[in-house]
Order: sequence, then structure tokens, then C-alpha cells
Amino acid sequence: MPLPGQVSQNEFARVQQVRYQNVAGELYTGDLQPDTYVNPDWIEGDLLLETGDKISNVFLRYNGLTDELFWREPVLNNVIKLDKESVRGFHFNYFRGDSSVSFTRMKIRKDFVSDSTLCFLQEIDFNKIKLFIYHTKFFLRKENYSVNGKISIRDIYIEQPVYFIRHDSRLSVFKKFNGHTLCKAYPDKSDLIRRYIRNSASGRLKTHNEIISILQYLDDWF
Amino acid sequence: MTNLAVLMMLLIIPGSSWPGNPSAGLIKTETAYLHTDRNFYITGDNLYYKLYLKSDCPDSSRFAYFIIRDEKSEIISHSRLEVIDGVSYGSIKLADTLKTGFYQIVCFTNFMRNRPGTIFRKEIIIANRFDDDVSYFLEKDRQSSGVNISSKVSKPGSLNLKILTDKSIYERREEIAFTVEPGELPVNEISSLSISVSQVIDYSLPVLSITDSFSNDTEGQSQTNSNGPGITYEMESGASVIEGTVSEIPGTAKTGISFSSLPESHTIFLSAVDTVPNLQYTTTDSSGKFCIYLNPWYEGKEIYLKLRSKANVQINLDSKYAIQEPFQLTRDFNTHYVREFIKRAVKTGQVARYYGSEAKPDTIETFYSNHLPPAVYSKTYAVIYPSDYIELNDFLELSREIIPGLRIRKNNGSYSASFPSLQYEIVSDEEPLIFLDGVPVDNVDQIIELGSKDIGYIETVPNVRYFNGLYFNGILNVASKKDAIKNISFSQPFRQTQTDESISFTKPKHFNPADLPSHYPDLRYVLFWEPEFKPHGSKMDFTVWSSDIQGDYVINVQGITRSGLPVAGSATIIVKAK
Repeated sequence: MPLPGQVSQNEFARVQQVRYQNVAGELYTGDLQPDTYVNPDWIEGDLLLETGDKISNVFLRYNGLTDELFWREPVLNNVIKLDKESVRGFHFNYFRGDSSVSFTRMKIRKDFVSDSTLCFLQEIDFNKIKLFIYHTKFFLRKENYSVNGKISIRDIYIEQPVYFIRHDSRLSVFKKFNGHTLCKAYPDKSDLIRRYIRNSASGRLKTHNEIISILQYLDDWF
Repeated sequence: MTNLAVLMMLLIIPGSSWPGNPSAGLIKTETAYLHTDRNFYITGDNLYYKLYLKSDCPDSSRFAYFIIRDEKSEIISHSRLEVIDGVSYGSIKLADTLKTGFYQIVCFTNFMRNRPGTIFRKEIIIANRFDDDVSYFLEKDRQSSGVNISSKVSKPGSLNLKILTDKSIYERREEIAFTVEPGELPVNEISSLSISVSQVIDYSLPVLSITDSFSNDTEGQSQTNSNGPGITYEMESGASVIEGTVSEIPGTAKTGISFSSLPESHTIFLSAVDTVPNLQYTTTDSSGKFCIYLNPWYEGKEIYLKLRSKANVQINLDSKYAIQEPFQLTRDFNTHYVREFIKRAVKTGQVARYYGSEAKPDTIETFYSNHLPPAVYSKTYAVIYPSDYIELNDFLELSREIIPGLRIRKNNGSYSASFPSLQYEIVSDEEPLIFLDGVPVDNVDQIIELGSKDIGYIETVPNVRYFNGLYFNGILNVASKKDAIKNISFSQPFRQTQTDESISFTKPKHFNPADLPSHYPDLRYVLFWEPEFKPHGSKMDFTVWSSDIQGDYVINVQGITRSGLPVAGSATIIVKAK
């Protein structure tokens, strides 16, 4: 029998149980088609649960086409499609060259027709403004390809990110992110925006890095 | 080789700093001290308290337990206290039906139960205002309680607070001014003080102060663990704990040694009646013990604990309020004083009640849980409302006619359910998890008699569900119209119990003579009670008003510094007529 105050025999086992408290989902036995995923390979990261618990160093995949988060549970190595309601957000330890990428759960309207739904958005926190990127994927076309002389058909998906900028509790949506839409959203900063784009190396706003750079610059002026 | 020999010697020598050595500082302790507004109460009064908790652990207990028990060790009141920054305060209403006599306040944390010697105990006297018969105390006088005062009541420790009054004798309804001086300590160093000015029955004996209590740890530490079932009581630093054991039903134990009699691990489900199917679970260890850190949503609810699978065992729950040590006076009272006091107090109590002048406690902070239930699923799956269809007599008919994907078969007189669409089953030969009113039931047999008129709605989750490490072959949730779960008799071992909820932080309004009509008598025994005084500035000055009751009053100040050191001080004043 352990001495009073010492860690009891079953402490370790219980800690293991507590570790996976409040994770809920369904067993996924379908095909994990890599093209539809924001991260085609499993990436190690952290899972922040609705209860406030955090599960660290777990393998995650996020499907941009279906907006679903998959978790490879470590005991039986099964793939679990997590309930969005039980996950507040997640964090990739390394994603597209970035060592710290966080996704948060938000309620957004995907299109004009449907109701708002819970989606996972990448969150970049500047000082005064926050950028949210919805890494959605769309089916583009079918394409023939050949493997060992056999011709097969595959689906081609493209990523069409939607950007959301939050400033002073106001959320602006950018389905197309360019100088024109940015000036329209923040007309009082239009001179600054135009000047920045004019002086930038590429003279446009297309890549993630370019978008992040201009928002970093604008953050000082907000 | 020499180095190896030295290392071996170090490991063998008793008292060396090996990890399990108590002297190495790994054994953690908690000590509690309870300051009450007075030591004597009349039934119907509010007992005001302030709890101080000293802990050696980085995360001290979040909850403490407060019991009042009578001389037969029967619990007459129990509550759970929320401890914030090492303190808690509030009030307990004393029932009008209590008999006149000695009572004991017992205060502890779950972790302190590992060393019963550290549990705080204090005697109070409660007098029933309709009962002025003091023969009870005459009887007590004849019985020698045998308490060795010098051994049980510690001598007053260094009272490191000075209390200065403007005079020592006051008239009735006169302003009493006093100052608390922290001595060598800077005022800002004191983090929290509790101050009482109340009449004393028996002032000839010293009252245990926080400085005595917190320096007497060695007595408690030397006591051995006397837990009955061998449970190590866990520290409730974050959440409340439910502990217990799963054991074989007496008389059914197998004899002899066989592989089948090896300890079996059981999975225990915990849930509460709700519209949301909710679940928490744990597994027993090799000795049958289990421990659940309760989701705060379950606090204050009636919970069901049941085994996942059928077994010939029983669930034994640990009761935090079960104190093994019987009631024993820790100090002697001067019964002559007590008798005289009770005679007078009973009369004044009756008059005071007639005028209704007792201050009601003000609620400062409440601790209602706003947590979400641990839902087994949160997605919206198929919902079927039987009232939308023609009335069906039982669940078998419901499953055939209106529940898509669910199949119920009868075999050897019992029914079993399944989702045939499941292509992959992690737990084979197991039914879907069936919830009735948010609580998992044993099997579909238990709900087979429920028809359309009994059921509000049915939800089906026809896929293999993962929940915190468990897999279920689908989920069926039935919400009844009239709490059908209460009529279910479980075949698998189960227990029903009520969970604790923390009581609010309360304190009385300070007395203002202007609030009392001039023709009303002022029959306060407690002139002042401030449980949560945080010093500001360099001085701690207080002003209180004496009542119409003459006698000796004590100003009792207890507190704690920012570094956790106890501080205390007391002074006696007299109130008498001109």
C-alpha cells in the first residue's frame, strides 16, 4: 500500500484515462484521399478540447474539402473523425514551413444559401487585428493519368482559401484577397494599402506570405 | 568497485534520501483551521465560519468538507466548501429541531483523510430555544469526561497580533473601537483576516488559535493511515473525486486458485439523468479500486454508476462524510457557566426570534457549475418522434416500423439490438450503447416495453463511436416522457448517489444601530463578524456596537499572511449596565 500522500499505484493508469477525456468522434474506415487534405500526411500537433483540456503530440489530418478533422488515436491506431463540437481548435507543430500553426473553430457561412456552420480556420494573431484563413478545397476537374501503362482517372482539387479579418470585433470576409477588396473593407487605410502594394517586390497580394506581410504592416496603423 | 559499494550503502542505510522516504519531504500534508463567529448557538441561528487551509502541495485542495455531528457521532449537517487561495467562508443554518447539547464541527479535505489526526475538530454548544431544561449538562457534570486539558488543548501560541481597545468596560449600546496591530509584520503582508466579537461562555480555557493549529502538524503526521478499505484518498486540487471499490458479493467468492479467479478489471460508467446522453468512465485497478475525477457538470446531481459488463460483483462507494473516529470532547467545558448561559440564552433567543432582528447572510459568491455535459455525441443524427406516427405498443414495433437501421431480435426469451449497417465492429458481440434519459442501460430488454406514448424522441447513431478511449457499436438514445429511467431495475451492478455542490460564500451585514427601531431590544451575542478582511493602508481600525446583553466578550482575530504564516490575536472586553 502506498504511503499517504504518495502517488498511488493506479495513478499512472488514471492519468492515461484523463488524458483522453472528452474526445468524441466516429471510427473512420473510408479512404483518406490525400488531395482533399490541407495536410496530405499526418502531422503531429496538439488538440484543444471544448472542455479546455489539451492533448499534446497527437497525429492529425485536416480535410479541406469536407472540413473534417481526423485523429489517429494512439492505442489501436484507428482513424477517428472527430466531432467538431468536442474540439475547440488544434495546432500543428510544423506546417508548410511554419513551426507554429493554430486552427480555431468558428461559426461561418460557407455560402449564401446554407446556414452558418462550425468550421476550422487557421488563426494568425497580429497585435490589433486577427487573420483567419479557411483552407477550403474545391473539385476542379477529372484528369487522366498513367501508372505503368495503365490509364486511370483522378480528381483534381484546388485550394481556394477564404480570408477573414477581425478588427474591433468587426469581421470582414475576403473571398478574393487583393488590394481592391482590402481598400473596400478599410477605406480609411486605402492610401496606405496602395502605397504598400506599389512598393512591394511583387506588386500584388497573392501568396499567404504577401497577405501576412501587408496585414503585419497595416496592424501598426490600426 | 569502491564507488559501487558506497552507492549500495547509501541505498541500504535507513533514512537516506531515497524517493519514498518521508523525511525527504515527499509526503505532503494539509492542515485546516476553522474560525467560527462563536462557540455557542441557539437553534435557528446561522453558524458563520472561515476556513484556513495550509498545504505543502503546490496544488492544494479545492474543496473542504464541513460536518456538524452530535454526541452519538450522527451527522446533522454536512456541506462542501470551495477553497479559494487557501480560504473559504460562509454560513450554515442550524435546524430548529436540534436537541440541546454538545456538537462537534469536523472540517477536512479529502486528502487529509489519509491522516485522520490532521482533521480539524471543534466543539460547540447548541441550545434549543424551546427547551430550557439543562439537566443534560447536570448529567454531563456527573460523568467525568476524562479529558486531560493540558494534553488536548494546546497552550495559546504566540499571538502575534495585538488588539488595542479604547477601554475595557463598555456600556450597553455603546460604540466599541479597537485596532489590530500586526506587531513586527507589515500590514501589507497580511493577506486575509477574520474577526469576531462575541460573547464567551467559558473564557477560563484558552481557545485553539490558528497559530497553535498550524504549528501542531506533527501530531497529525505521526498518526497512521487508518483507512478501512485501503483507499488512498486523492487530492481534489482541480475536480471533485469519487472513489470506491468493486468487490465480489459476500458469499459468492470462488475458492481455490484458478486463472479465472485472477483480478478482473471492470469498466465503470458514470452518468446522470438528462436529455443529453452523457458519460464518464473509469476502470478498476488490480485491487478493484477506482477513482473518477468528476466532470463539474455532475456536481449537485444524482448520478448513476454502473458496470459496463455483467459481473457478479458489487460497487462500494467511499463516503467522504463517514468519519471513523467517534465523537470525543477535545476540551472540558465549565458546565456551571454553560447551564447559566443556556438558561439566559434560551430566553433571549425566544425574544430575539419574536422581533426577527437577526441579520440574514448576504451571498458574496456562488459556485454553480456552468460546464457542458460530457456528451457521448454532439452531432445531430436521425431523430424520430413517435408522436408523428401511428401509436405503436412497444419498442420492438417501434424498431420495425419507424427506426431506420436498427434491428431487434428475440433469442432465448431476451431481446438484443444491433445496427446491421455497421461494416466494422471494434467490440464484437456487443449491443449498441443504449441510453434512456441520458443514462446507459444494460440492454434493449429494459426498454422493450416502452411504446409510442412513453417516448418523447429516439436518436440513432449508426456508426462505431469513439469516446475517450472506448468504442461503441453505435448508440441508441431514448428520451422518455416521464423519467422512465427511474422505473428501470438494472441487472448489472449499479449505484445511485448524490454528488456534492459547494455552498456559497456568505457573511452577515454589519450591524448599524440606525437600522434597529429604538424600542426593539438588541439581543446580539455576536457583535461583529467579518470573515474576509483584507487590510488596506497602515492601520486596521474597527468600530462595533455593544448590544443589550451584558457579559464578557472576546475579540478574536485569526488570519494568514501572504507567505502562509498564521497570525492571531485576542482581547477581552466587558459589557455591563451603568
